Amino acid sequence: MDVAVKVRDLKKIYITKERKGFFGGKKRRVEALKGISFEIRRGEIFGLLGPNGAGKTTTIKILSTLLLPDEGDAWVNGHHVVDEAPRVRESIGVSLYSDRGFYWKLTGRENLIYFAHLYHLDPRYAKERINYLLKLVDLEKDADRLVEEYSTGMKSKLNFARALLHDPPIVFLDEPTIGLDPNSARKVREVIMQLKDEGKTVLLTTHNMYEADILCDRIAIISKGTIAAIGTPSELKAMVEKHKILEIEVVGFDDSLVGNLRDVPGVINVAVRIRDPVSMRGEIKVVTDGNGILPEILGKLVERKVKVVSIRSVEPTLEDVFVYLTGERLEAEEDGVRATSRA
Amino acid sequence: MGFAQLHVLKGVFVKQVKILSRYIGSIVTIAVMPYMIGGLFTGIGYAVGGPSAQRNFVANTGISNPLLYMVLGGSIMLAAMIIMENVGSVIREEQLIGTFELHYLTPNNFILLWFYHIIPVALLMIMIFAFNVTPILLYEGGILSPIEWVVASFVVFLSMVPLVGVGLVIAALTVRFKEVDAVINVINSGITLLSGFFYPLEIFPRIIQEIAALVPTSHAVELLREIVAYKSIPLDTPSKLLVLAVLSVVYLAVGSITYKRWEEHAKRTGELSKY
Repeated sequence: MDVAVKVRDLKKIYITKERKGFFGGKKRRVEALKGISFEIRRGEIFGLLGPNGAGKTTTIKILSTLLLPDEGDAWVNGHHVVDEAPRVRESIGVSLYSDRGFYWKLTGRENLIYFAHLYHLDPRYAKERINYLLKLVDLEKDADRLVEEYSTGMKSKLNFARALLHDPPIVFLDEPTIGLDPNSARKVREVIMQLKDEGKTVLLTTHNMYEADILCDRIAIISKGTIAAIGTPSELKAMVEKHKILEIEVVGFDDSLVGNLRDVPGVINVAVRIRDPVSMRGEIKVVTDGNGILPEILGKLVERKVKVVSIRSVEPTLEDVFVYLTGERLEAEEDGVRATSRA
Repeated sequence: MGFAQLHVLKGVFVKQVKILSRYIGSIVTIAVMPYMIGGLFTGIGYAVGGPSAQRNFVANTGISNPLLYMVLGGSIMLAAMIIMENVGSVIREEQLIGTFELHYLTPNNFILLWFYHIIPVALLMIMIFAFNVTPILLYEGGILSPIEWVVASFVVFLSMVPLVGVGLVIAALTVRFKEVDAVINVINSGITLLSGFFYPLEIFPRIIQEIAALVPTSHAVELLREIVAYKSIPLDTPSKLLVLAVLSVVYLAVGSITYKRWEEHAKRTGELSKY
């Protein structure tokens, strides 16, 4: 098996300062990565799936040589990310932000020309490559407008083109579709599939389970700095297929209920998404062992005077795998939605 | 310098010139600023010195035209400030717009990369120096010979090189402490005080004059005034250029070491992307 990226026991701790009052504060250790290991095969699309703060961007930054690990090793295209950083940089294309990373007073094309110089590309090749990439990401018509006039979607596509300028064999994409409208997101996904067709290895971070499911050959589920599971989307979903997954829409939820529900025999894990923090309306996802424990779950809800709006049994998705493994929901803190992990 | 480096330099140069040209108002402001500063100090001089102001000025400086003296000093002061701010704060600005880390993904020497960013600005400052000084020289009925212009331009450029080192130190400090304006203002004030942009350094005690000798712009201003005021190249020009070259090496070395240490620290703590 030809390995494009190899990660062994990678650890990273950040020291943050919590502010109190005008001058006060204390330092806090945040373990971003707690010894993760995985391998990415050459030519595959590998997804790191996890919520915000799981350690996805930290992993990409270490693999991109932008951040030094505290412990552990990683190799990209056979080169060590610390000892052979310049060789690693030659092998990778990185898209870190969807709408940042440009000179606003330059046009899209001028931005790409500048970075082509930094990658030492021959001017004639650079011109052809830039034209090809602008066409690939559907920015040909807007290439000569200043970036300050670009929409978020256009900037994201330009970012994508910049990452591919030097035609790297390995591409790292950090949340490439975040904040994009459906059309732009679809275009970006099409380009990712095209990269795979060209034989490139893609490491993709996302908290979008749908995106991970349709794009990735294999997925690592990451939560709180640890990898909970690695496998193909089918393999991961098979982990919960023997279980029954219930989605219960409720009003009047309170956080302590998660603990109560977890105590019910047969409940494997519970996660909640609050959609309206005023009425505490939301959905509880319960992974059970399938032994007909619904009455007991309902009993707990009624006991706590929680109004049950609907109950349905759902087909397993990657999010259910995530709930099963971590007790958290994936798409947290978006559009006013708050996710609550198990107590 | 290899072909690859020339290629990178060209890319940086074109980018910087395009961005500068799209902020034309700033260039106009920089171009006229030395006249405003020069006019201000000349006016204050006459207000304080009265009818004997001109006589006192010639006695103290050896130069008969106070406006030329002030405008020349103002041009170099502005150039020094802009160069330091460019290295010091542009790195921070690049962090803000998200381009800073992207440079670290390219196979380049980053100290050289930031140094390249200064070359177009230094050339712009040479043009502004010429634009500021020429009208006064024409009014006086004289102009510099081509060789005098070449030497004067080289002196302006060489005085900017050590400031890149200062800028790298500012960059390291400001990216670390997030107080770019405070650090730049303190260092700018010190350099302005000790460069003799608007007064001869002989007014200071001996110890201050010796400290001022470590400030590259003090040598540049002195040399440029002699070239421009007397329209000739002084005999001690080579030795003064050597002093500027030595200061360039020392300042750049200090700047590079400080910046490299910060860079290592930033890669450990994740501050490369914090702004």
